[in-house]
Amino acid sequence: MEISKIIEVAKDFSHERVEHAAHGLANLEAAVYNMTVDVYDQALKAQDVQYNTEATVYQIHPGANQLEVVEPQANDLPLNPNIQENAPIPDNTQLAEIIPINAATTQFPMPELHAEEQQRRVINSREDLDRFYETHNNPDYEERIPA
Amino acid sequence: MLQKFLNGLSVQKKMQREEELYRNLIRHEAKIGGELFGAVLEGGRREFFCLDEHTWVWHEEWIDTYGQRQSKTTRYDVRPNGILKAQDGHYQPVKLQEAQRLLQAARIYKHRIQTELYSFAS
Repeated sequence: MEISKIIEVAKDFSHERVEHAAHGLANLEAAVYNMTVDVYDQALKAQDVQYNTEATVYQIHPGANQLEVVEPQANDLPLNPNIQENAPIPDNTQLAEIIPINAATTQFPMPELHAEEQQRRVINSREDLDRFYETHNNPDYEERIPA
Repeated sequence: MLQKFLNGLSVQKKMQREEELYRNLIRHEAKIGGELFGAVLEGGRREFFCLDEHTWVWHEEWIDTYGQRQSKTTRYDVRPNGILKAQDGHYQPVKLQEAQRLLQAARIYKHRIQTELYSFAS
């Protein structure tokens, strides 16, 4: 392949990869948002509290073990009682805590769902993924990474 | 006939090279992703990357107490109402705390690959 062609292809792939990451992040945000709402739903039901999800935001005060209705704010998520300061390092079955990174935020805009699943390429199956890692020890690996 | 055969080979080779390029981009992303969680113990390796719009992959290698190299690949399947974690062929739902860590990692991952790897393409 000519150099100019390689650069062109690399640019196309780069745009595609950035899009994947952006859509992947948006889908993740949507899933975590819905999971958070579910957890609070369950917490509220367990405490037998009447509420209106459309207009009301609830907070659980850490340690207080009670729910408090607060004024609704746009795109405001309830505080997460599971967020721990200085959380212990997890074992190998849990995704590690990021250190030190941005402080955990309780706010993020409601993302759009990108329902159209793009065709998966290169790694389509568990076998492909295993192969991906089998070839990892290839000594040429570092050299072949584009600048 | 021969020309047609040679053209076919050329197209196949081009596709292979493109796939290799694509794989290498993912490998580099995985390397950047693995740096998000702090230091890895000696002899270990960590990678983290977005496979596609609905799948995130975390790969961990470490030396166990018997000095044996161990590895685990975890796939997170993101669905509208939750996330499933696949490890060793077993699926389990991801709890909120881990989902939030995953989300936090994904945000930084996207920013870093965009600025460190793909800035030339923008």
